[in-house]
Amino acid sequence: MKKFIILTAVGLMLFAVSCQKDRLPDNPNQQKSITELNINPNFDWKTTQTYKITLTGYANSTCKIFYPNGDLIQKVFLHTNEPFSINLSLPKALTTIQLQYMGQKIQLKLQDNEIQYVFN
Amino acid sequence: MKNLKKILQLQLLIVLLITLTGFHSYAVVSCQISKTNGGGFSTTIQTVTQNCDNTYTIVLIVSHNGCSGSNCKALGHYSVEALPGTYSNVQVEVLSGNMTYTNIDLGPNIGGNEPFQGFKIDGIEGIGNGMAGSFSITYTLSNQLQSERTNAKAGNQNQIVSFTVEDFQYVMNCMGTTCTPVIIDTDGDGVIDEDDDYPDDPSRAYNNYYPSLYNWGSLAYEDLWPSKGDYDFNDLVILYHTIIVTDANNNAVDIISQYTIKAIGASYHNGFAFQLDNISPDQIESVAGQVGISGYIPLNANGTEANQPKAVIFVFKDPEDLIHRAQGSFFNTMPTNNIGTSDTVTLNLHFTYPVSLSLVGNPPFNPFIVKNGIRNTEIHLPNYIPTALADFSLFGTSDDKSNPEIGKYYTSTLNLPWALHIPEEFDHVIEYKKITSAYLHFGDWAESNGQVYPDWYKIEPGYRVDSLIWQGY
Repeated sequence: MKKFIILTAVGLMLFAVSCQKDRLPDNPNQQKSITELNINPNFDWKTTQTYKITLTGYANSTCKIFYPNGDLIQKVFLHTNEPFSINLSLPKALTTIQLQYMGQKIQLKLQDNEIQYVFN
Repeated sequence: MKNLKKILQLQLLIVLLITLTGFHSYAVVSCQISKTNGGGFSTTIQTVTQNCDNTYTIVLIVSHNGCSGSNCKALGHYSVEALPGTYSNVQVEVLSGNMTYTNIDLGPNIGGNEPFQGFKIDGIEGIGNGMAGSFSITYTLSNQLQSERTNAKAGNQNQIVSFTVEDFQYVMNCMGTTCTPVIIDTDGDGVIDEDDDYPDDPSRAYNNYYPSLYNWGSLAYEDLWPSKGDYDFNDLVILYHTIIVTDANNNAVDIISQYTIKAIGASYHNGFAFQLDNISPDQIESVAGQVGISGYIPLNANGTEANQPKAVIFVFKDPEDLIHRAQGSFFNTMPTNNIGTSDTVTLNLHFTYPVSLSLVGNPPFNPFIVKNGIRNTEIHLPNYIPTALADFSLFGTSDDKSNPEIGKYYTSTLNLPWALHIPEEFDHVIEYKKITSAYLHFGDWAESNGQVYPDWYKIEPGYRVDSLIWQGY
């Protein structure tokens, strides 16, 4: 019985150790100082990206540009069938913005640095 | 003499006719809304008339451009979406070409394959597939305007466009065919009052917000340049919120910017300014709201810094003029100290003439700190250009690896920056802690050239160690 208890205890300890071993190792970058990082000389350290967004409307009216959560960024006046371009600096992590124009609500994907959208 | 009088009268009549005709055609063209169905077909809202008896008369023009081939098939029927019981008096008139139709189906159910209820012009021939033409549809809508789709069905292809209530209202308001005249653009700048942040000011139309209406952005500095610092990016942390006011031509009229000090984890008294890289000082009429600048640096009469070819605007000379310390020499970087507060600087800049947004650039523009009040020692975001008054002899000294010849500025021998811009409020690292330990993906972001974790600064599970981050303000 004593042997069984000892063996069980040892087994449980080994199991516990092995469980600990299976945990994800800490991210090595979290342990490094910033001066130990290997940084590409061309890295721009920017958290934002500039997009050239060209919008064309079908009527003289205001187009509003929002973050996906509805937070307003910009308003521009679109003249009928005249493309208007604006450079917007947006967080790099952002994938979409919302456009509101003449009662339409459009989700625009931020796929390229230059984006064109024609309202119809 | 009699003949001359007749000639003059005739000339006057001709001028009057030309003027009236010209004005009429301009008004009609600018008020219509046209949308493309596809297959060469387009639909135009020609007129919308409010009839003062709770009904509207709507005229649509359907036209085909004459294209042919498999993508330009002949029209089979044309349907208009409308709520059952709200439409009546549907009439069709051929305007050009040889279009014919058999009947008008008043619905509301207009066929199993039709994606909406309403009415349709059925049995159409003679338009599409190489046959150009146009026809009008006039109908009456009761109660109120509604969003409506139209379908130019050609072959088995639904070719649908959507018109919003705003589209119909636009045509009606533009043509002045409302029942009771309403003033919708008080200042006459072309932007209706509902959208105009300055409805009584024709020189201003919109407030544009950076980073956004409700968010503030952050600038976090190391202040020992050209020597490296401790890289906790808390020597000076500034929050900003900027409004660029634009006119109806989308040109900038004013910049209204607010700044507040979030942290000072250093002993230097660093000033703060920004340069508008594509704007000259004479393009600015006035700057107001700067703190502690008088007598510190030479200023032009408009408030920009003197002796600069580009517009440089100082915000404050010394953050000490803004902050209210609660305890200790560090300001909001020691978690054991009481929390200090900061005044908010509101800077008002007015341009001499409206300026293209592309020239003004995006906030925070080209911001920089002036190291410990020494005017020619500027610390900018990486690869942002120094001003003309910066001491260029400092580049490439100590830990700095700038190379002005190739436009490389403010990065170190280890390719590290002295400043970071975060497009939201940044919770800075507390004193004596590493940013890589506090923000768990900062290193991943930096080593990946920005490809992974571009949102490393956000409050997300697994992103940060709160105990190493300032929590107080």
